[in-house]
Amino acid sequence: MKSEVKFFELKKGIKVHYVKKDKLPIFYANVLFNRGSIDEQDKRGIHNFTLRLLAEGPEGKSPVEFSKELEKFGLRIKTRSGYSFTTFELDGLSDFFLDALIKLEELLRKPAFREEDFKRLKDQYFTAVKLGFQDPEFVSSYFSNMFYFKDVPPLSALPDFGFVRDVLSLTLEDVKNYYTSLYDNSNFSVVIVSNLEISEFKEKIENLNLPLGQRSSSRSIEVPEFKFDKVYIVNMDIEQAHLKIINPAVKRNDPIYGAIKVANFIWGGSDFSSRLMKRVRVKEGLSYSVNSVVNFGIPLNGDIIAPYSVISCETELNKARKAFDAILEEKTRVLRDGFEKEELEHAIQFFKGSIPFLVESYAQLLSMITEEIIYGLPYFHWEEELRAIEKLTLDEVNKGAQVLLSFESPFVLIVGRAKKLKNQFKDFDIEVIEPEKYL
Amino acid sequence: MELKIFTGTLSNGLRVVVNEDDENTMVAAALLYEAGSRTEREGITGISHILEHMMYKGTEKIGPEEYSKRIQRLGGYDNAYTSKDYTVYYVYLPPGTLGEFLSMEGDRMVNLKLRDFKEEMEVIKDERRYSSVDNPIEYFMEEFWWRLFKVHPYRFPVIGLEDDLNRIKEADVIEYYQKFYTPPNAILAVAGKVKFEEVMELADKYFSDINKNSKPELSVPLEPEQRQKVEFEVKRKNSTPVIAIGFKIVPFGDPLIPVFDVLSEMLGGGKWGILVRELVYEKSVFASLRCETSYLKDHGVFVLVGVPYPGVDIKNAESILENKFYDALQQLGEDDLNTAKNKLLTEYYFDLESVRDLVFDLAEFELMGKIEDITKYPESLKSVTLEDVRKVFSQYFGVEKETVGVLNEK
Repeated sequence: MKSEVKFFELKKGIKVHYVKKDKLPIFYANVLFNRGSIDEQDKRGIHNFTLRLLAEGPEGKSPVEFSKELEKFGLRIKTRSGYSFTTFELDGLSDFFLDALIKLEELLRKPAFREEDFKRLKDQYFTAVKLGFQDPEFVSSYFSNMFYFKDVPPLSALPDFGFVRDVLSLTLEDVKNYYTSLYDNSNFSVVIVSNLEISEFKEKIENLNLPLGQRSSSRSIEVPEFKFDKVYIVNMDIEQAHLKIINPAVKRNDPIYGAIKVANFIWGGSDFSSRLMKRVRVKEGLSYSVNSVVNFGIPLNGDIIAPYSVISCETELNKARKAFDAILEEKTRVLRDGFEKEELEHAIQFFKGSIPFLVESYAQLLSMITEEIIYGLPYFHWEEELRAIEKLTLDEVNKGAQVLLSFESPFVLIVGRAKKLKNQFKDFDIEVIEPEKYL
Repeated sequence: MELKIFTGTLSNGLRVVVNEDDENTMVAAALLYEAGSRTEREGITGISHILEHMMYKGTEKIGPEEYSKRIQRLGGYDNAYTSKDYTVYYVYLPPGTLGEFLSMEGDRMVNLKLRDFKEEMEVIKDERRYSSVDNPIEYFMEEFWWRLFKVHPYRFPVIGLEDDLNRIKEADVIEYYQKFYTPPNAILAVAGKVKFEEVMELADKYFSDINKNSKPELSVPLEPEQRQKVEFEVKRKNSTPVIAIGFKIVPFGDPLIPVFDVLSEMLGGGKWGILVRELVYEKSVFASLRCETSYLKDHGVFVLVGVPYPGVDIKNAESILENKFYDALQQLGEDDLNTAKNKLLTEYYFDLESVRDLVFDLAEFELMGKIEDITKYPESLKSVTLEDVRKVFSQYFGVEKETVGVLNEK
């Protein structure tokens, strides 16, 4: 059963997108605006840290008191930092939706930003860093991002984490100053999925006092051509090697988007049916997990920047090179022979059949509409996407594969024991990264 | 909210439980076998998980790895996992396509062909390195379960002990498969846009000819009552210190579960639970602290997990946590009780949001509890009093019942 999205704009310019869903007496709401970690001027992580400190509570209430006020109603308010968008996520029982809005308003208008919370949050951040740095998956993401985007500083830190040293060097004054400019040129949207009638919350939404910005801010980012000539090894005393191969990809609004999406599904996005899984795990038993994903770029000022694709593989340390070579050989095979007709048919059947799963839950509807706002897409954009995918020919998908896989000098990063890995990759220029040096 | 739940049993013992949700856009289905750590013994730990992997090697009719391909062709998604109590194979499907799943499950319940055993064992060892050996906290928690239970097989890691993974042979897996993958030892749960009659018809079509009718006889060792505190330490290079204090509590299906849930929230919920409030926010002893409860077929487990602030001596942190834990209830009142209940009630509704989650609840309640209890939780929760919480605390907690583990830097 297809849901209907209702749209209305408030006097202050805030756009509201609403879906009524009756199954449960609950609501999900996202309040989002177009500011994110790319708006940081220098200290990477100040955006996320500011939001985390903000979430500790408003003036006159301790974090404990504020948390209890929310949970007394079973409410949750979370913050999420993206590169170019920030979201306040609210959920709870519908009876308390208006309370959630009041609490959010209170939080945004009068954040406490207390010294003791600031200090504690920094200690908590440092503990999270220490825990993160003993998790090879996190280490792999952190350093891949840092070195892949090393020539694009606003993108080089994970938006929900920042750089450890930058965050630890923040002062409370830095955070307060950053907050004063946070909503410059902000463009708020609210997405709600609930069993409520619009009439039950429209008046409150209409009077919602969000801290709208007045000044405009420039958000242009230069993304140079990516070129890599070495293998990065992050030295970690672990048994498994975590390998990432990253390459530029195409933007979401590129005409070849659909073909790339399908090509990636066949290449590494379809678990056991994928070429990567069949070759690396099933045929050669080299890995428990191998896959590929495409990030179709970061939305910015109506454009999209820096799309990329990632191949990830975890394998025993001694087999890292073997797995790496198997991936490259399979890539060469695809570039030479293309995919098979049966693989395309399988992919199209999958995309077509998976439609009912996209909008089953409240959370999925919320996430889909939020994505549509961020990327400027029409509601239920996937219907159009699917129609385009269904028409794709094998030739078009193979052209997509050529774009996806024609990398000459990919970005390669491996987490594991450097000594063992260096021997296997001695025909490459190698840079060894010691994670502790970044603490 | 009313959940339409129906149950039935085939003549060969396969139990079926269905939630009809006409408004839904999809169907979730799970086939659960009562085969997990609980049904293992030393020497074959991890065998349930090995069998889970081998189930994808196909039958005469279905080639290796073809199972997932067939599900994907419908637009569906499939996966499986093994736990302490069971192994479950599950799918998310568009309406009207359940037959494909049941046909393949019926086939592989009897006709499994174990192919590429050696290669798959290497993949499993990779998974063990990935999920346990290289992950200090997982490694520590495996050790924790090993110490928490002295004789009960819940002490075994689901992934298996390293020596056992090197020892288990193909023949062991076949024997285990023949013993545990039988209709009376399985539960089929289906939720979403589907009718009970339709599920029963399909189940009958694909499973009723299966004559592996025996229910395996098990003698699971009884865990003796713990009368002495158990302490241990794990040292790992570059590891952040972690403390875990655990207790054995009531099993799945026990009427006291809502009381334990409330207790857990009052102690470790959000930022306001008394332990979090005092030890994280007021006294800065821990950077993070939480209470976890899990309810298994024979026992439940209650664990406090804390990560001390940098520079705080771990032994000191442990002693502060222990003291505060036993002192905490005296400070709690009706307001805390109501906050905990509201939070749990909200979580209950959110858990019902998607049939993706509900299907596992159906299977678990059928296996370990009473299916009708799924809908009774809100009422049971509402009736919990402070007196109940205090009573349960004095009955199930005490220094002699503690298992305390510390993960420390080498």
